Amino acid sequence: MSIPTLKNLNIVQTVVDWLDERVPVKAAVEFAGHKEVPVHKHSIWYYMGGIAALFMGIQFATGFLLMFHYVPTFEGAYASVQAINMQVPFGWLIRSMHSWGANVFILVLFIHMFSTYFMKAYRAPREFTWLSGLGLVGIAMVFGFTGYMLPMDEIAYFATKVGVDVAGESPFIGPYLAEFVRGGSEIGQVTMNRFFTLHVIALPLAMMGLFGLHATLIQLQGISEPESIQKLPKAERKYEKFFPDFIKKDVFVWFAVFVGFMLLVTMRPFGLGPQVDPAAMAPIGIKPEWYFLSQFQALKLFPAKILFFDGVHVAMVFIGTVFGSLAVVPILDSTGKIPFISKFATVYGVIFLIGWLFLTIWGSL
Amino acid sequence: MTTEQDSSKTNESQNNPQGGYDLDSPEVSFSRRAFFGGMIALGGGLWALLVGGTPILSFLWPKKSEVVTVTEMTFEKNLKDFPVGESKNFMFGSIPALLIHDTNGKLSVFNAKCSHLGCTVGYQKDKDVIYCACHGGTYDPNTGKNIAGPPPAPLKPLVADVAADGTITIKIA
Ligand code: FES
Repeated sequence: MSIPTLKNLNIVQTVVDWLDERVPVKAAVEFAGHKEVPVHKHSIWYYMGGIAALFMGIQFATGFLLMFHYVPTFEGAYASVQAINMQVPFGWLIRSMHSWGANVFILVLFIHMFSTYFMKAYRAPREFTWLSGLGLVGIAMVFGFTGYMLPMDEIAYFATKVGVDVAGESPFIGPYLAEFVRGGSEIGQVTMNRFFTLHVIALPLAMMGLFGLHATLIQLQGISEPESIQKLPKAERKYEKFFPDFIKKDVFVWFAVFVGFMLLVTMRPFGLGPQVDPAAMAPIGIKPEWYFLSQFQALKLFPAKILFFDGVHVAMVFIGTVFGSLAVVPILDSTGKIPFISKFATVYGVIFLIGWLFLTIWGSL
Repeated sequence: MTTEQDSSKTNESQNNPQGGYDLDSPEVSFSRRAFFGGMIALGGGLWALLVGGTPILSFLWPKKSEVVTVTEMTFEKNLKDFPVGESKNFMFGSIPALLIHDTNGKLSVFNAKCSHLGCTVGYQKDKDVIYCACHGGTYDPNTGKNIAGPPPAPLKPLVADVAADGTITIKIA
């Protein structure tokens, strides 16, 4: 048995070998080395998922920090957020990052969602990647809604009221659901406990789980190419190595986005509205965050009664169907073999996007 | 010969007038096993749901909320300090309420919870309407009737009594 001398002992090699016997590191590196990312004129959209993941990380980190100072009580929450904004060193920065981050996260998710939709990346075998992504958007919106209430300013209170009452209009279980979510007949401490627990425990776990699935599927199936690129002859299709080529650019994009984000966060620190007064009327011009504006505008537009139905119910069915269709239409088009459906999916996406933008802008006016 | 015997045996069992199927044939016993396996899984699942779900759901179910039920309260202002056109949002127990000294000189008081999605309504003096800022619902300030926008029903009324000295008492209707 030869005793390794200092000269022939390759420390790195030894450590890697030792580790590889226990954790399949070599296989992972090998796998990453083989993975290729298509390079073409639509490649820019491939960065969106990574940017979304970056913001997910920012939300987890800043949210975790905020919990050290935030007080989740009906009476004390507002004051604690005020203290975070004004007294805690760099509290304003962390809160501004978290609140702005939520908005940017959802924006990036929307861009990521629509770009994969129009590139038809949802097609077989990637249906579950699409559905899990859709689920992540849904979770992000519930994150937004529950997080919204926590500072207990005016908008927090009325947004929660309306949101819960909308749930209360669901068929059959509506009233029970509203009671359950609220934890009683009025918004109060119990509601706050529920929203806080959801926001800091349940939703993060759900998001991590679903994101794990989403990311694993992407690793296993590779990155999808748009149809126009798939049609090209093999020789004209270009690829780059995921590791290290794509990752290098990805890190650069993250860095650039992060710098831009920090500019926004520091130049326009996120504010805090006036404290809620449960007796006071809803303030004129009250509006939800931009990502709920389309639903908000739809609720405004539906009249009290439509034929025999309550306007709210019709509005809910409408909103539910429209958003639900994002799960259905891609599945119909999953083979991509039926030209009519493929065309329909594209046109539908365009109409959806225009309609959504229109209602969102109208709602903001 | 063997083949013949086998096939006749199969025929016989298939035509079995009592059972219909040969329960010992591999396909049948497999599907039966799958069936029982499925039933056990289903039963087990339901059992777990019930045993796990009942306590969890009951644990989370809100207890009857302690609504501060008030049947009567004295309004903070005297009628003398509450001229025509004046209005006030206030809490009547745990419900938000709205008192208006309306243009007819009458006091109207309502539960201020919008019949649409529950925002708190307020009086708009310049337009002489009760307005809900959440989705633009409008109500008549004299009757509480819904007149425009999404609200499907009138506001719920309360009662305002005025004593000889101008003290205003709010009561449930
Ligand atoms: S809650 Fe009043 S109009 Fe919608």
